Amino acid sequence: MNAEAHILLVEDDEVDIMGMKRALKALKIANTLHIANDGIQALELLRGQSDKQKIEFPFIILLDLNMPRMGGLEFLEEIRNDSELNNSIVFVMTTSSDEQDICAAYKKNIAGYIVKSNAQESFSKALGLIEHYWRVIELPPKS
Amino acid sequence: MRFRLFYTPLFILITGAVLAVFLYDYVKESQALQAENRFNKQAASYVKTIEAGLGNSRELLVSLKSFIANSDAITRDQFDQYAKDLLKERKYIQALEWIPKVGHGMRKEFENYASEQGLKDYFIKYKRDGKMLQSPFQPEYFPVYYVYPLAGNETAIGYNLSSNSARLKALVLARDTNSTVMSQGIKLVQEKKQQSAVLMFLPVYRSNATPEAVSERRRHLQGFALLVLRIPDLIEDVSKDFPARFNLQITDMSDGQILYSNVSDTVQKGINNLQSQLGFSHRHWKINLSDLHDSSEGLNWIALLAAIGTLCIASLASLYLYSLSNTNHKIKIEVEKQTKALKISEQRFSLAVQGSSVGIWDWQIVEENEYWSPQYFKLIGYENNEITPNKNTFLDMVYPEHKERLARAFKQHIIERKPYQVEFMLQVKSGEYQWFFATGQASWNSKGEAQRMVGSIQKIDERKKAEIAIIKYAEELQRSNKDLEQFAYVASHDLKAPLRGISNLATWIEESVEEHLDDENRSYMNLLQGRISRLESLLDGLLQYSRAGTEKLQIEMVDVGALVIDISDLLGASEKGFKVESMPFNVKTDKTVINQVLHNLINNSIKHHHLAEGSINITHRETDKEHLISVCDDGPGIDPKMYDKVFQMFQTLRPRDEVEGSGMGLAIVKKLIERNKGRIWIESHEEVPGCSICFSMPKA
Repeated sequence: MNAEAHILLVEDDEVDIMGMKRALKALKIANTLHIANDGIQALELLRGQSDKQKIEFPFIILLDLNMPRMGGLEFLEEIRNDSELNNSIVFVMTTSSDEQDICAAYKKNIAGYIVKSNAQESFSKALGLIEHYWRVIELPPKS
Repeated sequence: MRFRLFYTPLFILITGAVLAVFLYDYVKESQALQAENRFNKQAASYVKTIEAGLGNSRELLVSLKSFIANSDAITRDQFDQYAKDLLKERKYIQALEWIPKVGHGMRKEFENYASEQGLKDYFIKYKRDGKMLQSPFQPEYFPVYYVYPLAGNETAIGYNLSSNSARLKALVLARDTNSTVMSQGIKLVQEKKQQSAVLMFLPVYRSNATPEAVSERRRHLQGFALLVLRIPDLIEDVSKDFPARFNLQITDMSDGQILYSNVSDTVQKGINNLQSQLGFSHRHWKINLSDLHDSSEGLNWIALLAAIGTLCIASLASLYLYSLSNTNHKIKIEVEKQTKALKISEQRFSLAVQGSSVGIWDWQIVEENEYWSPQYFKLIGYENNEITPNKNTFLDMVYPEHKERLARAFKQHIIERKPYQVEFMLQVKSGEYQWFFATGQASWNSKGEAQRMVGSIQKIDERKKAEIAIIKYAEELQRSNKDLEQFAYVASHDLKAPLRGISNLATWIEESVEEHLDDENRSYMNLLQGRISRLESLLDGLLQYSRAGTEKLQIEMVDVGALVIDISDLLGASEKGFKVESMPFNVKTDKTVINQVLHNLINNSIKHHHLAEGSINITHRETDKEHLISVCDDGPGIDPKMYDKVFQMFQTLRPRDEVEGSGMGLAIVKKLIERNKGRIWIESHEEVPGCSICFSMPKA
């Protein structure tokens, strides 16, 4: 069931996106991966705006915080106020270990906060965790 | 100088004293004179009174004579009856008597007749050696026949008056002059009391005739009416109603016999006396009168009172004048002192004003009158009085934005009476705005209205501009520091992302070409990965440093002993061969801060230790103001030359290839300690290995 779940990666760093793809490949995770370079693109995808293919439930969002145009915290603010999207599962994956960022993120009801410290390892570990997570956890249904 | 104070009062006192003495004398003398006048009047009156007393007695005698002369034969009863009426209360009269003339031829017959008439054993007698004897022969006898009162006068019965020369002389004079004759003083035969007495005789002629010639009178003489007068009793009687009392002496001038005297030799005579002569019935008395008391003797109370009164008034006046002049003197001295003090004060003020850079202003608020000192004008770049010193001139010079603060300061001083101290800018003559500092003090009237305000003004331009520059500099510094911190944060944060990219890419390349790598290239790859992780750790340290101490402090009681055990466990100290021990103690501070400080220090001690094992001790002592905590190790120690350097950022004492480290540990510790208002320093001892990092934490 959850094998159908889509993954939305909101990330502006090309290398991080490549890293994520490599890690998915290495872990043989075949779920559909969507990429958004900032919060605005991510919202367009989720809402099916600007001729974008709308991502349907169930899905998981992997969110970076520092991005141009609309950062991760602003994006969280946006979707928590959106009646359709407010139950989305969001993992924050970021380089910032700032306590303020962590607190602010958790206030927006995120599922987890992962610091990308050592690039290679953390991607694999994080994705491993997420894979376990969605195998065990029932994701919110389509509507 | 001071003795002059006494002159006038002393003069008055002396004058008063002299006046008192004179007054005493004057009053005394005038009193004496008054007393003398009074005495003279009274004494003269007294003599007249005595004379009147004698006159009264003579009147009685005249009455008795008329009674006898107009009766042919008088019985004893008739005589007694008449005499009794006459005498009545006149006690000073010893007796009224009838003395008939008895010729010798008739003596026997007369004596017999008298005996028959009831005078038992009557005979004519005379006195010799105090005894009454039969009278010897005389041609004529003048025996006492009737006596009233008989009681007390019995012995006189039959006494022949002519047997006594003095009495005889009086009888003869009375017979020959047909007038009352008063005798010399006599001692009464019937009187036991030795009182002086006089006799008054009045002749009675036969057939009630009044013969003119002496011979006729002798022939016709029938006898004498006699009155015995006791002088002392008379004096007592007449004095009874007299208002004054005197020393009195009555002397018979013919024989010098003292008839009356109430003056004893021991009693001193008064100062006033009167000598008077009293002629009465052929007898002349000398009467001496004097005061009972000598008024000149002793103190004259009235005069004394007057003198004392005068003296008192003089003393009071003198005392008053003295106190007045003394007060005057004091006031004068005080005024001189004050004047001098004022002059000194004024001079001091004037010199101070001249010598200082301070200008003075004096504003009569109500009169709108203002004074500025020359220095004031100089401060604002003008010649003395070049511009008119008043409120408007002043306000025109004030930097527009500073008008409001001046108005506020003035209002607060006038109404709330807060000190008037204000800094502001004035446009001086050159047109430049310069800083000034003014102080002032108002004075208020009883209604609380400000009347006047005086103050100073000084130029603080350089200081103020320097101050402003410093503040600006400090602000800039702060901003720059903040910018730096911000930069450090942003840099470390933003540098991390590309660094991770490089790391990832390096890893992926390594993975892709792993089979084709020779040993040399493999070591390059390892070095590349090593440098990447070192750069990452440097960035972490920088990030940590920039964030250190930005969190809000949460002060709580921290059990440092327990905290050290936690840190030691976290660092895996015992696994690495290190023994970490702490004294048990509590510090009231922010737990995060002290945790990070101790974590970094213990970590340093372990990381930099030259041996595989060692011990680290945390000690604590405290003063009134602060906690002093030391982290002591037995490691290699630190060269004293490096003490300052170790606390700087990115400083490591050994190559990073030997000991990996960001070089930020102690810098972060220093930042945290200093932010907490503490100090940090290094102590090391030559004889003891290792070093101690010490820091203080002030007590809240």
